[in-house]
Amino acid sequence: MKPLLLGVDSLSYSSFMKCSPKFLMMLFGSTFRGVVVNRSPQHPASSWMKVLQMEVEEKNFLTKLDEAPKLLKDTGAVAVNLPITNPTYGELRLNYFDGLSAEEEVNKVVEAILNEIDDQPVVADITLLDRLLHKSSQNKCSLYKIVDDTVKKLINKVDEFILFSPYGEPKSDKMCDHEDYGVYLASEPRPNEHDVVKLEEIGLLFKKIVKGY
Amino acid sequence: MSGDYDPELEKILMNKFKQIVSNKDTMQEEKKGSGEVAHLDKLNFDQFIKSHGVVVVDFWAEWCAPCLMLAPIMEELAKDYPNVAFGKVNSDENQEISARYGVMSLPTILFFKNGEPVDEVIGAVPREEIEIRIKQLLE
Repeated sequence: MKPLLLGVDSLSYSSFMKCSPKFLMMLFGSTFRGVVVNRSPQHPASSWMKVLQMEVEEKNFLTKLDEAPKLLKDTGAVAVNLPITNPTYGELRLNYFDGLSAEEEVNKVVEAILNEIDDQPVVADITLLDRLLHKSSQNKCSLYKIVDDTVKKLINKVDEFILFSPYGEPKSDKMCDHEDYGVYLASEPRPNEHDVVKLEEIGLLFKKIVKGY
Repeated sequence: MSGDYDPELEKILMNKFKQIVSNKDTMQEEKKGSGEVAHLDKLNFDQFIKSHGVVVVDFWAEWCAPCLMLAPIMEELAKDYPNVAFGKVNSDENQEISARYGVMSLPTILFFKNGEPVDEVIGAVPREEIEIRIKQLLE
């Protein structure tokens, strides 16, 4: 099994106590953890671009990319559903604004990851929390349950992983308005564990897991 | 002469009365919580502790994931207990305050009554564990 870099946009420690996602709580207690800090702009595309080590800071979705982001080139990883373009970027491309249900998205993402992970590293994203919590937070804990079950399914299939969110939960219906703090849980330790995790650092940490340097 | 109505004296007495009532309202307002968690630092910490009866202070840091898990519970409690004052201290930015109370790990919640620390909780604990201590201090 190859390493997995899995983003879950808008996943937030602030709902861990309220929603008690069992598997995520277990990971919280048993893996290397940190806090991702991302102050504005908190657009999915600009945040993910930082992870993928692109120099430009886009404030909106791109229509297309001329070449693969640096992290994907450096690690030979396959992209799945990355929200840097709309439709999303990678082997699995979903329209961000199509109103795709939570279940539909995770089923497609899980299938795409499991199709690739035996052969190469995968960088993938789940956008459902971000997309749906911007509209309403009423079903938050049931969405957390879907994410929890999905993460369990995926993490149990890989040996090395980084699970992160590029920012916390939406604070309003505005696309770039989120909590400043995201989640970071990983199978490998990182240097300076008492420092917050920067988005650019996540790409470097994944590269180190894949290539060893 | 002493029994005569003196409008000037009446005005002075009325102003004094209004001033006393106004001061009392302000003091009562200070003793109540605001329903929010106040950000405390070396400039306002001592005054905050002294000017409220029961105070709950959350010591946290940005890098501390359990602190972020605890934060919404503190916000909920602040809304549910308006007669208690809630504050938070960024431990990295206010090491003097943390050192003064021997805060060694995060998150730490300190409970104050009449300006004195009387109880503490360490770690991201369920709401009930904090609430039970608040209820004891309010008895």
